Amino acid sequence: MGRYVLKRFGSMFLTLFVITTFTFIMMHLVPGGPFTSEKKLPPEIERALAEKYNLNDPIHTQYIDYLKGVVQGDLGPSFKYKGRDVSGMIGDYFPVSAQLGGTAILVILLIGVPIGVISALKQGTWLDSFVMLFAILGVTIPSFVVAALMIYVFGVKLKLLPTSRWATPKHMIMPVIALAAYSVAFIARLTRSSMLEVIQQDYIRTARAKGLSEGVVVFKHALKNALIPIVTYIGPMAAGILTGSFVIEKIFAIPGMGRMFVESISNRDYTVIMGVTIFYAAILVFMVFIVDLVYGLIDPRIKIDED
Amino acid sequence: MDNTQVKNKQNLWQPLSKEERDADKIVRPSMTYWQDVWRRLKGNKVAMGSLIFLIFLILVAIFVPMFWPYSYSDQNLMNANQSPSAQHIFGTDKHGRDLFIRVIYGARISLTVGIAASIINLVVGVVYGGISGYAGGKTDNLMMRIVDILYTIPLTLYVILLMVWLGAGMKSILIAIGTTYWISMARIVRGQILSLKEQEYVMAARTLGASDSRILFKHLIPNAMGPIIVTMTMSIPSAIFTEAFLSFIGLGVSAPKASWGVLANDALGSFMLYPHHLFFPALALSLTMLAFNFLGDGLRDALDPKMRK
Repeated sequence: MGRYVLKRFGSMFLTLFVITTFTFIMMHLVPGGPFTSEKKLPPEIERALAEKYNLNDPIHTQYIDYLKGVVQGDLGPSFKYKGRDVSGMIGDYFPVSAQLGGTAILVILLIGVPIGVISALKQGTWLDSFVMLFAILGVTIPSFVVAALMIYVFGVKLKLLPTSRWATPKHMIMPVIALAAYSVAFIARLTRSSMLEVIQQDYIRTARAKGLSEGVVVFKHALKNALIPIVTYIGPMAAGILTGSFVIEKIFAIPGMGRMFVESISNRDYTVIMGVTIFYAAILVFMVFIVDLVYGLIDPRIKIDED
Repeated sequence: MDNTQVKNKQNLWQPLSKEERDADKIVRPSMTYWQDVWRRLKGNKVAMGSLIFLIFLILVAIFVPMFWPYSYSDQNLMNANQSPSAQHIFGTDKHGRDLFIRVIYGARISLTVGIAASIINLVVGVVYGGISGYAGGKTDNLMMRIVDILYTIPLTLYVILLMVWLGAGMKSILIAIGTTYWISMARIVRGQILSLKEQEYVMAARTLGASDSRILFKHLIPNAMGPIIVTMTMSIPSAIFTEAFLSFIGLGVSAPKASWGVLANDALGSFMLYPHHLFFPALALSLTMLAFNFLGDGLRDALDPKMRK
């Protein structure tokens, strides 16, 4: 086990290194410098800027400097917002996004999994069909449509909920629902099919034959095994929440990291794009690492010593 | 032996009646695998409905712009922001452009992106996974390690970076999506090839002196076609989704062209006043996603009845 953890930990760093390098190369391949804009700058100023941000150094020096910075948590200055650095911006905006994303993940697990279980236990009833219809709609309707529909109905027509900004818990309701809808639907489907498979197993029949109550059979015997595929979905789910937040934060004007990232893309603020990409990648790779460990722990059939 | 006895013996050997003779005959023509798949797919009403919808959509996207009175770029500010009417059945946008034709053009772009990106994924994934699975051993190990690393990288971020690098536009979208989402295809193909390459017909082919590439491309990959097609059908909606997402964060095709994602993004600023601006592209997008999903499910059931639950 220890060796496995170390190995996974090592490969996590390798992945992060590859990501950082790749991001750096790509952002330096973009034609035009960071200060290229419609307004032509006087050559002296351009020179001074290049001097200030060490852009005259050979590329490998810049790369090594950048790597050093990343290791120390310094992702460089923003080119667009003078006097701000990327790490500071992440520090400002990330808590909001983390709140939004964290709530969404909670909602997904607390609603998606029970819905899937109920649907599987009531297989073939109208309740099951209803849940599956909802699940299919949730997977096929893009989140910005869900968000727009809610804004229109609850914000504009019924005037029940605020349509933008991020202040009170009331502000959170619509963004969280819009962000979670897809994954709730997905996880409900996943839980349902996994639960249906487990419930046909012999050991469930044994448990019932022993005279265990239905609750014990479902929660203690069936659900525990049915949850394994769901654990593997957590990685992709986190990635989905993250990219979903770009859209949702933009629609609801939430001052989070997703909106900052989208803004930095349209501003062509390369250091911010680079820094945020690396930060996001680090979060996701770390999630995958945790999921892998948990997976190895809850399912003894997975041989974790394997290569 | 007298005559009657002979006659009786002859009566014992009656010719079979026609019915009895035909009982063992194979009446149905023997079906190939693909005919069988088609037969099963035809039985699935939802999947067939989806297929018909998609074919209809493609035909509309190709032919309607040819005779529609407006083009996607015709502006008429006098008619801006109209509600649906007899003249403009989906209404007009803020530049007075006919929304119906813009949604149809959006179908052209979104479907092209979805299908072309999936074909690129298919080619890259099949070649990569095929070589990896067929070569086996160290090559396979190395190639799969690379895939494992790529798999942990959040791909959407890389599509975004690629788009920033390449600049917005159709070609960039195809390159960005096509070069990143082939990984699951490669994994599936590799798994198939690994099990298929142990089959007798592969040995037979090798004995006859077929070259490796011939065995791979003429024998193994055609036999792995079922899962490949299912994966591809499922990857079309996700490519369309990704394109809509990219357009939405401002990295899509450039004006006046518009995909469904661009239309939805444009509509967002004013949808509280003009909800139909958002409604029609969103409806088109959602219906297409639904259709591709149902078709994918149907194909999976038809191609591999064992998988059905």
